[in-house]
Amino acid sequence: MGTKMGFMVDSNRCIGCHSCSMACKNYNQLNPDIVWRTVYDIKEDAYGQPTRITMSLACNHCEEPACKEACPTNAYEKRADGIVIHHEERCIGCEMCVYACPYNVPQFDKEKKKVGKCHLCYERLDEGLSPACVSSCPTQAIYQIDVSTIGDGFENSLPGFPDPKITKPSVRFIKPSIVKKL
Amino acid sequence: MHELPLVIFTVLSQIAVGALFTMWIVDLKGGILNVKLGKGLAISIFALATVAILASIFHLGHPLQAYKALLNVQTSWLSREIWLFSLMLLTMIGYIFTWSEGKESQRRIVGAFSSLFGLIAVMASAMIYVLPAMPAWNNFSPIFFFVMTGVLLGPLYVGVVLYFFDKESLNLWKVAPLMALVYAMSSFFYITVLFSGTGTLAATADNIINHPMFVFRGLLSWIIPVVVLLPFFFLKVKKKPAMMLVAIVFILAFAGEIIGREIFYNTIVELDINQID
Repeated sequence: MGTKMGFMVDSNRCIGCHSCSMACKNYNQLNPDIVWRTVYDIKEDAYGQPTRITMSLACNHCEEPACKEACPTNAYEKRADGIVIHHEERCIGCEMCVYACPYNVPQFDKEKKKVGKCHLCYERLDEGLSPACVSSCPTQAIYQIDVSTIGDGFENSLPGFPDPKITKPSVRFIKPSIVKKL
Repeated sequence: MHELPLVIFTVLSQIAVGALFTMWIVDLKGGILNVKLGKGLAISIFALATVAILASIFHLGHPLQAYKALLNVQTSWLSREIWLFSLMLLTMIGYIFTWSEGKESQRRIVGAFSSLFGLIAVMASAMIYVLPAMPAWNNFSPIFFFVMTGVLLGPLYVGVVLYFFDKESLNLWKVAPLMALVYAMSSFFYITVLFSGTGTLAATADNIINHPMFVFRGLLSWIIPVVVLLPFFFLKVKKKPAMMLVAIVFILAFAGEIIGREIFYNTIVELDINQID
């Protein structure tokens, strides 16, 4: 089985501080209305009792990326390590990927009139560094993983996350501890 | 209206394909005897399809790079759609040139290919929207409704043009009320089925019926063609509707389809994080 790079999201550790989102914006110099990483609140009654739980999500670098399939210009490429990258110079701003992605990942930049998305900071990974969001997280709630070697014992979904069967996202979750207590 | 270029493109291209198909069938049955009129009608359909494709380019962030959209025919329905409409237009050039005396058999063969490319192109247009990320579209409905636009308006377009320029006595107007009836009933069942779903499906249905223009859409595309034209089926004296009346029904139904497509694009509820579905 080949390498499948993705993210581990530890909702037990995430405190919803948005450092990851801001680090991503800062590192990628995104326009003000664009976010490539978003911190979502999980519905407070999702686990049966009112609890504040957050999950930080960016591109899931899916095994079967709907964005890549829908793109008419081949602007998307799935690298051998599983990272889905978007070649901005090939993009014509048709927004087909925006329609197709079940996770609302590709973002249309009204200034550039092109789409952009998280590329797992592959250039940093290639240099042996962590992605900007991972480096900035004060609680180590997100980190890059190779889904093909991570093993069992992790979730592939949390409440509110669209059905992983659609595109087989390369993201794994650690459930909040409240679930373990229940 | 963010999707206006797509609204214009889809509706005009579907009318063009419906009209081309109608024209080809009418010609096959020997209905168009005037070669000059046939050529004019084919040119008008070609112009309609060209305007549609030009309109679609303005949906892009970078219209001058539209040619790049031809590159991913392996997986992208948008690429396939553009290739198919290009093939339709190319074969239509041949179709226009075969509208002269003594070229009936060639014309019918080229017309068949052109109509077929057009029909598959409309289906490819619809397939763009058949997406798991859009549950209310992730079924047969986009294909059905896109084809219905062509079936409702294509024959009306041909009927009106033939009448105004040649007083041809074809009964193409009869297609409209029957198709409008089918269209209305299917839409009713589609919205009812959406309501019986949960999450994004019910939310989409809610958006559709609460859209401020939904009543006009129903009135113009579904009710007027039925109410105005269907009674002529039952008149004891075989009387046809005045063609001016048919032309007005065409214009109103066209407006209804434009509004309907705007509703199509602006009422869809996509899958989203934290939505219940």
